[in-house]
Amino acid sequence: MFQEMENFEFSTELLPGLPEELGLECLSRLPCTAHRLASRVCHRWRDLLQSPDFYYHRKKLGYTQKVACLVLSFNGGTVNGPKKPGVSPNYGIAVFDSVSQRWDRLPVYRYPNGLPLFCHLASCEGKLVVMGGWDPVSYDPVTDVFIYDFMTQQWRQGKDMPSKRSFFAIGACLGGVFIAGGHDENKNALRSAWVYDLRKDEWSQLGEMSEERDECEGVVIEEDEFWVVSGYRTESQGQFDGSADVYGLKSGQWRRVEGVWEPGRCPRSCVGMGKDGKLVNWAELSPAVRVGACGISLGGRVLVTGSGYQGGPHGYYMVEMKEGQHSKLEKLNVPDEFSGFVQSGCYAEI
Amino acid sequence: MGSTSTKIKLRTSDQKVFEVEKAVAVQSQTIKYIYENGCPDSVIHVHSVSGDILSKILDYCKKHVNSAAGKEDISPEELYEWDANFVKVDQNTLFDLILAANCLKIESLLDLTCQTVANMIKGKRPEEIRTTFNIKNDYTIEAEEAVRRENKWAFDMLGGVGTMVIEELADDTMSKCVTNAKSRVCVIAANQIVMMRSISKLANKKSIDVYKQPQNPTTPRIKESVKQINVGTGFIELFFHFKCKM
Repeated sequence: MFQEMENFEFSTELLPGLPEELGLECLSRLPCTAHRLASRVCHRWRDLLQSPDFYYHRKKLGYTQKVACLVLSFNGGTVNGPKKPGVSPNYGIAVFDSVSQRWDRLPVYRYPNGLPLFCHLASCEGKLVVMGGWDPVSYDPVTDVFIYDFMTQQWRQGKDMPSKRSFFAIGACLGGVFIAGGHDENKNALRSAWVYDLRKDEWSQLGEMSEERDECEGVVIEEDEFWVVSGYRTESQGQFDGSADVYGLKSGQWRRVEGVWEPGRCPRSCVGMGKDGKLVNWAELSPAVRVGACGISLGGRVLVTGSGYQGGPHGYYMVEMKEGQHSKLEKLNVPDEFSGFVQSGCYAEI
Repeated sequence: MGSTSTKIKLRTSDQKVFEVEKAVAVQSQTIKYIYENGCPDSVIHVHSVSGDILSKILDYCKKHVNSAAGKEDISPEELYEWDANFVKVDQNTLFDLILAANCLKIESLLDLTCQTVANMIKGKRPEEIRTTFNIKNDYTIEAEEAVRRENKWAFDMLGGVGTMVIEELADDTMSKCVTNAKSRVCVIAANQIVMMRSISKLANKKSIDVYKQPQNPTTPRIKESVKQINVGTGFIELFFHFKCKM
C-alpha cells in the first residue's frame, strides 16, 4: 500500500505537505541570493518573499546578513582625485560580504558616467537607496533618488528630493530614509530635515534641528534615533561643531547633545557608535586610515577603509568591536578592481 | 534509581513502544514537559509520530546527547557530516521528520530539516522547484514573459563604450548547447550568441574565455575576455568588461 501526497488542484500551501508555519520556517532559511528565482515559482511565494513582514521575520530569526555597500571609484582614484588628470572618477557600488569574503559590483542605473559625486547611500528593509550628489560631468547637484532591491536585484526610481541639497546627513530605518542639514544651491547651511517613505514613495518634512549643519554625518542608533553629528553654520565655514542633533524616531522630536564630537574634525563617513553611547571617529582607529576614512559597522565587526596620507594607496581593514573596545586592524586583500577610493558606504541587511 | 539510567517508554501512533534513556528522550521539549508534569512511570504517547520516524529521531537525539556529553569521540565536523547524511532521505520522510521535530519540539532537528529544504530550493530554477515540491504554476505565459523581460540587465561598460543587454539563460538554449558542444553554456546577448565554457562551480573565478559566435558560421570565433563572473542562483549572471563592436 502506498501513500500519495494529496494533490490539490488550487493548492495555496507554501510547501504542499507541510502546514503553513513550517513552510515558512523552510522559506525563511533561504538565502537572499535565491529569492529572485524563488519568487518566480508562484504568486504566493512572490508575495511572501517581497513582503516587509517576511523581511522582518527573517531578521528577527537571525537569517539576514549584513553586507557592506561602498561607493567606490572604479577607475582607480585616490583621495585627491582620479589617477589620470582630466579623467573624472567613475563611481559605482561595490558590495562586500565579510563572511564569504566575496566582492560584487552592482549594475549602475541611469548614470552613464558613473554615480553622482558625493552621492549619499543608506539602506533599510533589504533595499539600498542612493540620493543626491553632483553630476560627475557638470558638477550640478541632482535631486535623484534611486532604490535597489537586493531581492529582485533591480533598481527603481523614487520621488525626487524636495530640493537641491548637498553634503547632508542620511540614515535609514524601518522603511524611512531620513535626511538633514547639508547646504543648498547658494552654499547656505541647512537645519531642515525630511524623511522619505520607501513604501509610499513620499517625502514628508520633519521639524528643524537646533542649528544649521553643513557637512554633517548621519547615524541611526538601535533603530531608535537618528543622530546628525557635527557640521558647521553658514558663517563658520569649515569650523566643525562638537554637538549633535538627535531625532527620536518614536517621539518625532529633536534634542541637542553637546560635546559628542571633536570640534574641527570632519565627520564624513567617520562616525560610529562606541562604548556607553559615545561616538567613535573611525579615522582615529589607526594612522593607516587617517585620510579619507570610511567606516561601516557590520554587527560585531567594522570595515574601515582609508589611506595613511594624502594621495596614498587605499587600504581595507576589518576591526572587531566588543563593548567599545576595538582589536587591531586586520588588513584585507581586495581584488584590484575594488581597490579604488571609497567615497562613502553603509551596511545593508539582506 | 540513578538518573543516568532512567528509561522512558514511548508509544507511537502505530502502537510501537520504544524504551529510551531519559537524557535522550528529553531532547524533545514536549516529552520533557510531559515527563516532568505527568506520571513518570507510565508510557508517553507520541500520537502523531510513526514508529519509523521516531526510530530515526531517537538515533538523532542519541547521537547528539552522546557527543555533547563526551560519551562519543566525535569532532564538530564529524557531527556536522553525520547530520548531513541523516537528512539524505526521500522527501516524504524529510517532511515527516519536520512535522515530528515540530510536534516533539526538538529545535536543532527542526533547524536541520528546514535548512535542508531551503538548500533544496536554492540553486534550482523555478520549474525545478515546482516539480520537486509539487507546486502549481499560477503564472500565465504572458506574466512569465513579462518577468523574463524585467530581468534583463543593462550594464554600463567600463569606459562607457556601450551597453549590453543580457537575458537569462532560456531552458532550450541551455540544452542546445549541452548537446552541441561539451559543457558549454549559451547566453543570448544583444541578439548575438556568446558562448562560454561552463563549469558548475564558478564562484569568483576572475576571468573566463568567451567566444563570440559570428554571424557567418564559417568565420573563426573571436575570443573576448570576461573580467568577472558571478554565479547566480541556478544560472550564470555575467558582468562583461570588453570593448564591444557595435
